[in-house]
Amino acid sequence: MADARSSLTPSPLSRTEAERLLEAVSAALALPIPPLGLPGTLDALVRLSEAAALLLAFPLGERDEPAPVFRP
Amino acid sequence: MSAEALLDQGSVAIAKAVRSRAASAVAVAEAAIARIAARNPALNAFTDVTADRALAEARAVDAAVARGEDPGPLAGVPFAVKNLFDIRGLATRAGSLIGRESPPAVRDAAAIRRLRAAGAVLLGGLNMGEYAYDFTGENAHDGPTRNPHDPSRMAGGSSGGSAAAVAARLVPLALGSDTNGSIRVPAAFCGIFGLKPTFGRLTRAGTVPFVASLDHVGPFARSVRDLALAYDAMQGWDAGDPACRRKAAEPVTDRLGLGAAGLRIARLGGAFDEGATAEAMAAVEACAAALRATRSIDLPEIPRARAAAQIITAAEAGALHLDRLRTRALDYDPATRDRFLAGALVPAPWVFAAQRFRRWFFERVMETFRDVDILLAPATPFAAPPIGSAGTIRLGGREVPVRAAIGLFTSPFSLVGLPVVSVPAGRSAEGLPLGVQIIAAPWREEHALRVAAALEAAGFVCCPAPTG
Repeated sequence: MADARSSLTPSPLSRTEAERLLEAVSAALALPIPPLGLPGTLDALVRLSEAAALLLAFPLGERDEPAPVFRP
Repeated sequence: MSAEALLDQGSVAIAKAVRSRAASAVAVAEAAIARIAARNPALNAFTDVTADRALAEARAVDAAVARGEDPGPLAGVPFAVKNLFDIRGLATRAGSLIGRESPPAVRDAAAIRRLRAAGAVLLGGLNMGEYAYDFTGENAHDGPTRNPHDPSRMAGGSSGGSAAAVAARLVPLALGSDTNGSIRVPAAFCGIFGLKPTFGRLTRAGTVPFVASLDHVGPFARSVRDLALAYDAMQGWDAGDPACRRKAAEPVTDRLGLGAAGLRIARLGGAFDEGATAEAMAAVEACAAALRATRSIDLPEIPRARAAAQIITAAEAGALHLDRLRTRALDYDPATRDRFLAGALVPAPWVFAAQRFRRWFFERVMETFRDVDILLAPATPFAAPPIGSAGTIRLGGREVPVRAAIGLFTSPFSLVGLPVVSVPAGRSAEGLPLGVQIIAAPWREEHALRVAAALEAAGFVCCPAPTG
């Protein structure tokens, strides 16, 4: 069942927001980002945030289950 | 017929000749080894050639025939596998620098064992994009696989070596994997047939995973019958792959002759019209016309389906590689490294939004299959770009990065696990092959293969001979 779309739908991350996310999560995961890979990682993170914004704006209800189901 | 000529003919002809003792498996293996030695340096399709092993396996096939035994439907057929499949005695590269430092595999991947049980002979491992995160067939460690139709062009990825080896007639059969298009894209760029079966149909045991909830394995061949023979030989449940469904094998080879009779076929419009070059659309139109399919159907939310595949891929792959990324990020191919790193940073709600959308999209797709049995769409928006392409291309009125655009038409279908046959259908203005996806409902590989066989029998799809 679909809920009404939130007026607080996330937007894609700006470069600055992506930098903040990268700094926070890479510290939490103990994942150092090599300087050589920093610009490309930020580019990729911004692209992923664009994809995420599309998905988060889509009206799904709490009873819409995720796709992968563990089959014991 | 000579072993050389048999290699050009394909799996069905080789197995028939070997089983009838018209040719020996050893002679066919020797011809394949010689051909690989002569042609592979220009293509870079093979990363490992298992010549001694192949000859031993071929001798065993010939001995079985001499004893009056049937070695199986793939008797003496040379094949090779993307180098993310475990090959006993070799380190499993998965296209990576790190992988080749691992200990030699102690056992073949399950799919290799099944092909071997059907009489096939393993010739080696094939080049691929690092860890399968790739649509180009390029690799910083092993060099790019080159397209047999134009060596300056991409073979496609990530199973580029698999497609190039079959297209160049080094082997008649190869295995690859497909997470977002990695069988269908290189099959299209190299002008051959590729099958991505239903998610959970074929065992992935003994392969290096990329995205566990999206990974499939499947065959490449130069005829639909060869493709079906290999697919049939690999079917059946396997406890070694948790995603492999407990389904009885449903052999299709003997049902190909049913063709497209009784199947309701439509071409996909909407996002698939808007994002393709005119020549890619013309290839689909030609197939639709040959099948007398006049309906056009739109699937909803294709951009979101791509977004969901993109998020799930990045997050699962990044999490899988987390330990290696912590310590060896600089040993990755620069073309994959930053995407793996970004994937490891993805917030969990993004992933669950993608997985919940994935279920929603699957249900809409299944509603479509109440009215049709087969959907047709381009395999790629354009023919193989030059190796090293890094710019953008104008599609649907927008500038999009070439490399990401390669998989625009394939990822929505692997997202929901549908079986798809990629068929070689026509050429671009530059003479490069084009591919069309024949898409069926889950567990209906037979439908897709029958339609491919009908198009092949009528002469509308075929593998163009490589140049040179």
